[in-house]
Amino acid sequence: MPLEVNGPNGATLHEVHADAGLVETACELFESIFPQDHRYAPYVRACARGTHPSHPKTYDHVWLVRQGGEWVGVRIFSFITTRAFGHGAYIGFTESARGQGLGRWLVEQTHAQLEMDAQKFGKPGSIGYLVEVERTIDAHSEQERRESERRLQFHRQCGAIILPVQFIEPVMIEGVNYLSPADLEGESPRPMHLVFLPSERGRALVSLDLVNLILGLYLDVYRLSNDHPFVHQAISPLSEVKP
Amino acid sequence: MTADFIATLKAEWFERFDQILDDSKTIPSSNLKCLELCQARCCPRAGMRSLPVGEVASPVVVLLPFEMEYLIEKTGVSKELFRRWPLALTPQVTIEIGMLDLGKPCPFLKDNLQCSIHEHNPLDCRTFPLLPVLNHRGSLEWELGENCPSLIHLNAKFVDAVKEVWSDLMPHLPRAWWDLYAFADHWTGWPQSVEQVNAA
Repeated sequence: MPLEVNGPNGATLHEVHADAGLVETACELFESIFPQDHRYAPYVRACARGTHPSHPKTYDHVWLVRQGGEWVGVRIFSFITTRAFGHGAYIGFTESARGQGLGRWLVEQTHAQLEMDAQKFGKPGSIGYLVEVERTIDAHSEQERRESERRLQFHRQCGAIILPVQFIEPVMIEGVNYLSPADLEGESPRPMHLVFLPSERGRALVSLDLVNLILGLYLDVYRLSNDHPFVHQAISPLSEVKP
Repeated sequence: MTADFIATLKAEWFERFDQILDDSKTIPSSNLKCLELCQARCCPRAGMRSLPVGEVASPVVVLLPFEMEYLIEKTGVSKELFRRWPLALTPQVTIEIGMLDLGKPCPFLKDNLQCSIHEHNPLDCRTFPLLPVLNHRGSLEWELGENCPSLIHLNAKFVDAVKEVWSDLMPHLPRAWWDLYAFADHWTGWPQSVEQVNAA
């Protein structure tokens, strides 16, 4: 499926490149849509480079969505070059742009881009991508709970499979050179749902390779070591196998 | 507190299982011709991996909350025989949901492909080939296990009774359990040895 830069209701898709002028726009929009994550703006800048030495096993994308003369949406995701799937870090829209089907359109375009990325890196294609979604049971208020449920429901409607994995989201990719631990003081690892959005190719698989998905995210995106407790915890139900 | 909460939940679920088994005596026959037409295509078992996809009706059995514990109590088998997925009910309380799959094949299937615990087998087995699906609106829909060779014989009265059993359970099943049940559609069981998994 080719990338469709023209979406519903006159929306258009724009790839952000680090050497062009849209990076600051992307960071500003990111901070307004995800105010709680404003300290991660350097990650957005790093992803806009496509390849970054701190992300040696991912090929990153930052997209903006424009509608009615305004920037209304941001999408940050990566293809994991050592695997056949990607990682969706952020997808978000301004309040007024919600409810028009832009999210679903952006998910479809993400699949299309990952398919092209897979071929670029010599894979037969992309089976989909992983996202991390807050658990409703961790919400501190009814409003937060509804917001978590809304996010999960959005992914379910896009065909998501909620993986039965005890997943802990690290605070940041290990060893990045654009954020220091002091920049992220107060942040702590959080339990999250690990969610897989299969592409058409992924939906045709008879069985998901959960270990590959888990290791792809932990080892190749977050750069954790194989013996990290998060890795161990996530794959422990899988390592008990009857010979 | 957590232990008390889990103990209470477990007792409630055990009561439900007792009730289901009791009620099942009055449920109409499914009319399925399992022994005549089938070779345990819906039982995750050794040898199933080599079958053509069209000959596998279900490679996975998903147990209800505490159904694994109930089966253990009834049969005395070890917990190790089940794959056990974590299911978080609250930030502090995570229970395990049992599953049987091609990596953890059914320990109750006899060599002659008959079930050794037919009188109290899991609800997922008991109601197959009817498969409950929780839709986006949070209501129940039904699918049929398409590779069941007995589908044509399925008794409509049995179907109605099964739907009622699941509908009664609905309020007690956490959304996360339904997510696990939906995931099972994409899972046949990890086929590799422990060493291969750990070395991956």
